Amino acid sequence: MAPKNKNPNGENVVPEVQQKKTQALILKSSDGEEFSISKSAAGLSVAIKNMMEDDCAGGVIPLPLVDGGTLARVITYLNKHAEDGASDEDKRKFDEEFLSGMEVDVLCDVALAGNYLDIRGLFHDVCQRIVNGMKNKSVEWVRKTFRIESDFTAEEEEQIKKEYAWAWEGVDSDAD
Amino acid sequence: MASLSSDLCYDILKRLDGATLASAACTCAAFCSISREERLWENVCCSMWPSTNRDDVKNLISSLGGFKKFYADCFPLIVNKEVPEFHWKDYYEYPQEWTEAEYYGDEDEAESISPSDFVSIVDIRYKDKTICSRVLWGIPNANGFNGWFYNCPFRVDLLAYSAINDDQADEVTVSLSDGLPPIWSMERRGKMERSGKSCAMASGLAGFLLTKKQRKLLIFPVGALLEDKDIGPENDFLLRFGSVLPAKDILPCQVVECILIMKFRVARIEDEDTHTTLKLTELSMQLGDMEGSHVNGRNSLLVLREALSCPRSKNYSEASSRANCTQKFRASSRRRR
Repeated sequence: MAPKNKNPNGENVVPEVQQKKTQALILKSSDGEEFSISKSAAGLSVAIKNMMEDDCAGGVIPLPLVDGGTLARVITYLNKHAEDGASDEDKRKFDEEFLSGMEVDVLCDVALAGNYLDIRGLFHDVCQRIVNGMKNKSVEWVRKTFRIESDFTAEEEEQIKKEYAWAWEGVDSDAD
Repeated sequence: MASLSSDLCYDILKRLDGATLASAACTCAAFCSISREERLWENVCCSMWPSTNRDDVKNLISSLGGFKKFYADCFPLIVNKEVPEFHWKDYYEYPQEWTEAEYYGDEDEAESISPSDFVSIVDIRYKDKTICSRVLWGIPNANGFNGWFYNCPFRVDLLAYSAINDDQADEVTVSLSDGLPPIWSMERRGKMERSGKSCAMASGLAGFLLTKKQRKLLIFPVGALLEDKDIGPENDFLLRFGSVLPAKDILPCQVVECILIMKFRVARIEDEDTHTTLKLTELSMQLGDMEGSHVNGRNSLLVLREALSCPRSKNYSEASSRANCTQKFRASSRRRR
């Protein structure tokens, strides 16, 4: 769950709505990189929006759980989705391309960031992308692709495979 | 993947279909323990068979060992795959829940199997959209006097008797908005046949029967499409799906078909004949022998009881080739008459 940053004094600070759009904001990644982003784009993240509203950061928002590379990707996504002229179709196309080039590790990092920053659309798309990669695949294929290490003993593995024996037909061959 | 918390893994796993969920469960201990979550399997079942979302059906499934087991029992037949035969009694996953007597069924209890022990749960889908969900407890009119039920042809009428939710329409229709292709009157016959076929292929339909006493489920997945034909007035057509059940020592023909019948009527044709609506006029299940004759209630109960303990094959090609044999047999026996 995304942490809801509270004003230390527990006060509700009213956001300056009129200036929000043009104003820039600095996001600081875990490894110290700083990124500038418009408030309108940053506001697509519910977590950042809450932080802005609480105004706890004074213009620089530290994101200790997101590294620079991942943050750069997330910001690319947010900028596209905040673009004035972009149609839904444009965004959909962008999302597809945006995710299609990503390695599994990157996808996982983006999923984590999407969840942490509470960007529902991004989080959903990434999860769906991961899920699509698992469909109709064998256990070994899923392990290899998603770099999951089996922590079963041989007996446990045999036991669990027996439990799900009904599912083993119709999976794609590992070759593709 | 190791970096993801179990909450996140849950978020990912809840988007999986049943088979993928099963294979994910086997990859590592973390996924394995998450995938024991009943809620995930409930999701999987409900999106596949909306009927399982009803409270009465939910309670039933829970009492029978839960959604995970239910899904495994219902896993549809696979097309053209050689699979080993699946034996009903091979389910050792939940043995701790049953005493031996319960597990193997008390003989006396099994003998006294009655029509009220059956539940039929049917969902019909057309192109990924559920057009009809019906649940029927027991067999209607089975308690008539003088063994009426036992001597009459066995037939479960799902359209007329099943309880439906308030939000469901009385009429079951398929129209252009459901993806039914436009049908022109000139080529109606051909088109209708084709749309009938695609309807058959696309319907993720599951018929279930079970006996509450034995706590066993007897599930008939779609089975093969047996027949697709125009009947009677030009605008009606009929689809029959079937699974073959053994009837050794019960009927001379040795095997019986469990048939699900759907009849459609062209209800409305608008906009220069292209917007057609099909109305479902019959949805029923019956048992027929090799020559297409009805099987009476008494024998049907025996066949169904037998089917509870018979080896089950998930081999679709076998199921359909057997169905085709039956079909050919029937055709030739008709010609002889």
